[in-house]
Amino acid sequence: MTLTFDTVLIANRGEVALRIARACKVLGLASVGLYAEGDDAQRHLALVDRAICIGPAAPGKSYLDKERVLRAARLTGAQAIHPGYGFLSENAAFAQAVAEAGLTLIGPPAAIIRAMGDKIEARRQMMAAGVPCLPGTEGALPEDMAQAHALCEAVGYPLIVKASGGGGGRGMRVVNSPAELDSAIQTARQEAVHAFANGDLYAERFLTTPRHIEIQVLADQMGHALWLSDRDCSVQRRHQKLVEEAPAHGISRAAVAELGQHCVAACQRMGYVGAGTFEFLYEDGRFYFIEMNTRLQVEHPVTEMVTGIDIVAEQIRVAGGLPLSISQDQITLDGHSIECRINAEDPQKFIPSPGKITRWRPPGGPGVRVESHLYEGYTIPPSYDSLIAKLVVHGATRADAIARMKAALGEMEIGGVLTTIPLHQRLMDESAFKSADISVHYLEKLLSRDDGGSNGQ
Amino acid sequence: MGSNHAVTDRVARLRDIVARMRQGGMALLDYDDGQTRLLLRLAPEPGAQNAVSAPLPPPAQPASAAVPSPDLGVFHATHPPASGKGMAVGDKVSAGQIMAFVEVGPIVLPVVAPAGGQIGTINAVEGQSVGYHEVLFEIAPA
Repeated sequence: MTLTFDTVLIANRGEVALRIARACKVLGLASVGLYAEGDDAQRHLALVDRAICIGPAAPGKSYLDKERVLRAARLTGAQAIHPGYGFLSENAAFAQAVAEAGLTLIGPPAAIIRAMGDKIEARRQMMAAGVPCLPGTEGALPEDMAQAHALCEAVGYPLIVKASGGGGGRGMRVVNSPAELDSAIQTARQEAVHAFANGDLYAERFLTTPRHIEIQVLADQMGHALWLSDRDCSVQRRHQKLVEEAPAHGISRAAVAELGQHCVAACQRMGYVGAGTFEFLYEDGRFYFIEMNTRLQVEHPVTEMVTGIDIVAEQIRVAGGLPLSISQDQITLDGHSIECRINAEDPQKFIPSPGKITRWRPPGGPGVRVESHLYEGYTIPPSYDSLIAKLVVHGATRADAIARMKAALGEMEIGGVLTTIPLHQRLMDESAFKSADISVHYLEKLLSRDDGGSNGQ
Repeated sequence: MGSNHAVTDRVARLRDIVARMRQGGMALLDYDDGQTRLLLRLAPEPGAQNAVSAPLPPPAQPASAAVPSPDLGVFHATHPPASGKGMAVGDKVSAGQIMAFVEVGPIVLPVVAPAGGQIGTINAVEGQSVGYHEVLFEIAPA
């Protein structure tokens, strides 16, 4: 059986563009790389069959420019577009434009991207599919404050007021008691109108020390869907994940499997196609849906390491009309995997550190995988994301994986820019991390203790 | 009544033409079909950079001047739909001369020589897709 396309346009840059180029090679597909002016030294551009500059360095006129990306596909004869993550990967208007141009988006249909991008609609669909959700308001909060108070009383305090069209912490307010509700709604609504041109708010229960647990899914166009594994991505700073692992430590496998089945049901109910992730908060033995990411995720390799499944290859195959090459009962979980995101940033202040790579010595050995577009002499441009490498390890147990990560981090040398390697080395030695006794607030608390210490000196 | 409609229609068409010229970074349009002549010269857009003049200035002692494509599009040696031979290696060009064209959807953009000299290399063939600022010609100093 063959795919409905033979040439894939990689509409992204950096490590994920390289990951996609490699998957195309494995599948015997031709690939086209696109780049912004001045960003032509990326490693994947040497692997693709054709590379083309689509516009100026500013992402809005290149990687984020829907019309230019589509024009590049037309001009190079690519029939499919892989959006990677970030940029246009969750842009419903882009997905629709790709379909209208008669091309294939390697991702779900535009209507699903749009529905999952609307938090109220996503929540409604999850409730209908039996996916556990936080206690919350069903639709948008009414303007009438008496009604809003009654609805929030039913949700229970503490709660969080969120913008329906929002993300990234904007249009969000934690409300500890009814006395704080009026002003929280007022300011959140102002922010929401300002940032997202949509003043719709909803409220849901606020968890104090949750973990971030997510489920990787894959679905084909024949209506088959399966869940691959769970991941724990609790080590975060400002909603940016830094360390991810699979499986989640200390959660009953039966509970995870039940959650996975709910996610599969939700995929089948909405007609999902491709790779996707259901994100949850986990507290006191219960999961609560937060959002669905309708794309490939940065941390997909940890799931690949414990299941042996090439998620990107499967994603491309199903977009090309092939059925999933595995079934649920063939999926097994082998050992433990951890990923550290190596960012070109100051490891204490997290200020981006672009510049020329003067030294590059990636680590190796059993169970060590490096996903990176770096090479010696490459200059990291300042205009884009600071992720420069993903260091992924696989061990028999979590302790074994931590030991391998420590060794690999110690071996890894990146010269010329500051990186988050020292922070990861420290985390691998932290007793709370080693015992997996962490919530989504763990890293920020650890870092704020540092600030307190340095202020006192 | 009918003439009012015709005027409104003509204004709407002009607006459309100007918008397309702006989109393509065009400054001058000279249309002549033997009966009607339309000459449009647009004032520079405030704050906007001209896509055609975006190429970097040549270095002080240029070995050769690179002629970049004005945009991502299809290369044409002559203005479509006309056909012809276009420029050849060894041809002399002067600064500002239109050397070829790049078609971007409904718009045809000129490829302009940034400096005078003699064409050393031609890197694109008729109908080829070319990238934004991709070097299409090299001009050796005369």
